[in-house]
Amino acid sequence: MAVRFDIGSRIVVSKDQVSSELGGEAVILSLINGVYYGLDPVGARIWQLVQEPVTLEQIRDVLRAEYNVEAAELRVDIRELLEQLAEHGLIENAE
Amino acid sequence: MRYWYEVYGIRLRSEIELSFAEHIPAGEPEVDVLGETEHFFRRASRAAALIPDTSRWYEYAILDNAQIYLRWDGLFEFLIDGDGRRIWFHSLGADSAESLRVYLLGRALSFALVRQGLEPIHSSAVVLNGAALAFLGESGFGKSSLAAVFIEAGCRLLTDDQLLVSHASGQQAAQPGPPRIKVFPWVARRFLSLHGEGVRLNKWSEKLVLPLGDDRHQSHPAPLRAFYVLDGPSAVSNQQNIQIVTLSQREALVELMRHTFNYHLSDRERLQRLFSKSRELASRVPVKRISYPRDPAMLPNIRQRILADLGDGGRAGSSLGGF
Repeated sequence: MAVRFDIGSRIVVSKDQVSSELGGEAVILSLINGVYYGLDPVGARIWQLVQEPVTLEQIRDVLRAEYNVEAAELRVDIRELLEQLAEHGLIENAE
Repeated sequence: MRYWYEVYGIRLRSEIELSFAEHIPAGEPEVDVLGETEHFFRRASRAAALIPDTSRWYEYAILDNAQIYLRWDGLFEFLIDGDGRRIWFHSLGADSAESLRVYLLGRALSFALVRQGLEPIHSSAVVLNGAALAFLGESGFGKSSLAAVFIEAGCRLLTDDQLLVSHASGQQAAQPGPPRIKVFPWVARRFLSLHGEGVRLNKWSEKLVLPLGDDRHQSHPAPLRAFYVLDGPSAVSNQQNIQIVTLSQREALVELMRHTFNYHLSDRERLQRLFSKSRELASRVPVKRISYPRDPAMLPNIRQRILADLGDGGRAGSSLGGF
């Protein structure tokens, strides 16, 4: 089922996963279905941010400050990644 | 009559004689292998909802009492106890007894190992200058053929198809598997100088099961030096050069998890352990990806390329340095 987040959604990692940061990248393993994900450095930074409840807007602001990317483009990329992670039960709404 | 063995670093006691030398280790068996009757198996598997493996080669079921039932139609069946301490077997046909032993020490034992908290890897490994090189790859990707070409150059096989790594005192020790290799007849002739020896793995495969003597198999552990992940034949062009790249730790962790020998047991505790052990290995042992054309004549060149990658100056003598 497709998961949608809006700019104010508070998001946090699910308990049904284990993850590890390795050399600035990250790997996540779903404990529900055994599917694993590799995240590049930007994905790994987002993963770091969602360890505590955070909104999409807050993630965008942190990344804008750290990477030289247009806000609109950044918002789409963040949303795509988060929706993929949510579809596999790796993150969830914090509410 | 019970026979005692040590394989993958595990003390194994068996009612069926295996095709290698007995070793009577100190202590209780960690796995007991027991023959059972048709009646025993029909009762045990009565409620089994069999799931075909992705290869369609065998079926398995995890029973309500946590036992695991495995069945190769027309060949044999196994039942593994919930704690992995006992494996029962029963022959379903007149196929080679050696074939039963191969699947007993392969797929069936892998369930027992995982149930005992161990993590077998889908890998063949050879010993080069006292350290283990492990080749990771899916079935049919050429792990055993690559191992054979190293044996040709004087290395000894450590294990074929299933690898267990033990972690002790900060070191990763690759454990020895049974002293045999499963290869196609042309590999046996060309790289092992074995003509007409061995028995067929089963009636559907051309592969031969070939016993290896002490000069070609190492029966004690070796420190693990490197993993090489073999790209599949379909991912490689016949025109391309041999390529070796070192994987990042993220890529290495994913490859090590992907190459678990047993992907059927996926309860939460097991997945956490697989992740944790793979992460430890990825952080301690280099993992490289190797792509090469699947031209049999190229295999010695691939061996040379790996030796050059390791900085061993193209020598493949297997010194007797142990772990």
